[in-house]
Amino acid sequence: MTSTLERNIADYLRTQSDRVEVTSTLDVIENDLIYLPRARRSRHTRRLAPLLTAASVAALVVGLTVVARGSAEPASTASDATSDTVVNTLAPLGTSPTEAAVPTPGITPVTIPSEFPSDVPRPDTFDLMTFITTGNERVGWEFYERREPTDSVERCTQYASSFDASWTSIPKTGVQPSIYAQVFDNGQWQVGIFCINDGGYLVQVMPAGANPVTASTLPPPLTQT
Amino acid sequence: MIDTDRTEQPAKVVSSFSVFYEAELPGQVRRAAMMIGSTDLAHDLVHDAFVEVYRRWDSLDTPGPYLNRSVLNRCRDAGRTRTRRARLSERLRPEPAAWDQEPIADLLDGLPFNQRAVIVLRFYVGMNNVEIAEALDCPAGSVGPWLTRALEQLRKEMP
Repeated sequence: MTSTLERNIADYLRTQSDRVEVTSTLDVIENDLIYLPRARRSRHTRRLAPLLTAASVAALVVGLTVVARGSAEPASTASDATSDTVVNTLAPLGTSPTEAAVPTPGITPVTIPSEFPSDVPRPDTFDLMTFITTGNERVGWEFYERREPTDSVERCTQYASSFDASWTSIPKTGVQPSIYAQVFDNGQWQVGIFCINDGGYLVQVMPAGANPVTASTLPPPLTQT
Repeated sequence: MIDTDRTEQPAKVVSSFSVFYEAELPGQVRRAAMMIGSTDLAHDLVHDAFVEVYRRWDSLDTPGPYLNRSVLNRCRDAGRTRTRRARLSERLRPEPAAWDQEPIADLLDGLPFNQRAVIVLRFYVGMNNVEIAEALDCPAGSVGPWLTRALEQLRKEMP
């Protein structure tokens, strides 16, 4: 049984539908449209999708870990200057050159390694230690730090005074940018002491007869933090 | 790469589609217009549905139900979007939206889409509850309550 309300609704809807003017777009559909095929994912791609997703997540985690570790360590300031036979590689004490990380000056000073020759006067602690290598062989050590220029000069002269008469002192001139340069040689080892005008203090210990130290082997100044 | 489906359609199939289109177009547009209250929007939705049918014409055994479902789905999406936009318009500006300038079946505007669709399908298309449920892809038990609530609302508004 249809109520009056329902009849009224039906009449109202018919009246409203008569107001709708219908326009054909058949010619557009048949003649004017250019259809682009939808890309279909292959079954192989669908099967690989979970694996690819897992691999992507793993790669992302590894990448973030590496970045986090990298940001926690200061950037290496290894010297890019090398001589023909002596190659300097910055490295903290007790680690291989490939694991080198440069500590911030004054925060994590290195200490003298145990394999340091006993007949060579031990220098003070330094901020950086570099292995001097010839090819793949470690042949010496290089210590570097940077303080106030007056402090570095005082430390240079103080360390130079610790060499006794068994050492031959060879003053060096023209080793820029050094303001003080002296080499001690006992026939077995030669020790270069260099004071740089930016406050740098460099000590190189290497076998006697190795290539003399030149300015190009001096490490670049460290960025003060 | 551009698909050349259109040019590869056999002439006989295109002709059949033309017959199908001409037969279905008026009813689809009017039904859609009353469901969403806008003639222009109804034309757009029905046109898009016909394009979809045209692209699948070779693989469709019964294009009529496919077209019905496609138009209804588009009306449902448009109705929900329209409701959201209407609510936003009420907050932002007092004027009605552009598509409401000459609304169709505006007495139904206060109804949610499902209730409005039930009214149109029952009293304009002439479907029973089971057919309405199938058309709207909803449980048959939902149609009765929707219809009851819609009638209660319209009883207050009908002159």
